[in-house]
Amino acid sequence: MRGYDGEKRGHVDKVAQRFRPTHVAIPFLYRDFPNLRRARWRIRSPYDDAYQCIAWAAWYTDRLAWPHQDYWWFHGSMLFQGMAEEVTPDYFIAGFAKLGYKPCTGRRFQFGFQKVAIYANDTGVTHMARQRFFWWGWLSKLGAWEDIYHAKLEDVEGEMSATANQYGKVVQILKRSWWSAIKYGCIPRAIGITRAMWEYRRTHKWQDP
Amino acid sequence: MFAYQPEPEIVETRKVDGWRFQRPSPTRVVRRTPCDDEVSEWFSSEWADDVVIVVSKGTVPRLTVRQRFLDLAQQWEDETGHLSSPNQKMLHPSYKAILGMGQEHKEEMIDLLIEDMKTNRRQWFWALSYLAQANPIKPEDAGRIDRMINAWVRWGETRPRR
Repeated sequence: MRGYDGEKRGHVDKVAQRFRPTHVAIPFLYRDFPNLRRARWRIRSPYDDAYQCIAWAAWYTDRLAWPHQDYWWFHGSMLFQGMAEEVTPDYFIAGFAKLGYKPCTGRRFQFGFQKVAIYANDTGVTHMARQRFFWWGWLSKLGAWEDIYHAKLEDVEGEMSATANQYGKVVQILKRSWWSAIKYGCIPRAIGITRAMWEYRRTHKWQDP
Repeated sequence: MFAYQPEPEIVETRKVDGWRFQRPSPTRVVRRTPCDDEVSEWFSSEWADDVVIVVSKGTVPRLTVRQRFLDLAQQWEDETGHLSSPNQKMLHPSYKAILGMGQEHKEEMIDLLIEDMKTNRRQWFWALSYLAQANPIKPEDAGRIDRMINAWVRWGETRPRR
């Protein structure tokens, strides 16, 4: 898998991907996501700062996605000059429309469809979670930290305040059909990423919380 | 009435499997000074009302720009590592403090930010753009963190010094 321990690339001394033992990660996760204490969840992939939740929701693990000129964006990030004061969900609805997603209201799993959820607080959009492809439950990449499975969207919700360092609430759900996922070329990436993560988890002996 | 607030506790830091393990706490890390025990003894004594503490310039530990920056950077990483939104990360007090330090020690801070980005992979792209008034990241490298760091490191090696 990309970024294995000990690799050195160019000028960068540390690697993107680092294995953080579960007993080290959990206190941090419970501090910033208090709802996880009462939730059903588990860590799925290691700490990796080469991608974050937005890229993960779009099935990418090699880039940081954000509507800004320094980040990758679906229809070209050079459109975004300077820093927007508030990044509204409209940017993300327009971006994910390029992958076939359309706004919807229901959060429940629907056979034949895949959903993503947009979280926002007083600073604007903060996070995105992706529904599992074949079953109930959601996947969230927590910034540079681990990617986790959580049963409900509320499990990673938090305060709306800009100073709370939390994700706020779910403000929008988007969905697309499985046919759209095939049409936009997500399936080969999905298979590659899933296989790499299974392999990583097998070799690193994860402890479930 | 004010709600009861417990004493801020000392948070121990130690290394576990190469990770800096810190028991997270809503309180900040308290920096203990050698005279802390003595001072708390004064306050707990019967004549506490008479205690006057004079803090002279010589007794205050003076941190260098580098030490202060590394403390703030570590705190910023610990408290915003789970955030994806650069806008939200920039609102953290440590980030603002680092930008403030950049106003006073501009050249030194640009060097420190690039060095820290290279060694610790903390993402100082926006702070650097703001302080250096430059953006060496090519459009095709946007979002690829290794290439973005490399672009800034190369820029730092060739930048004109004042």
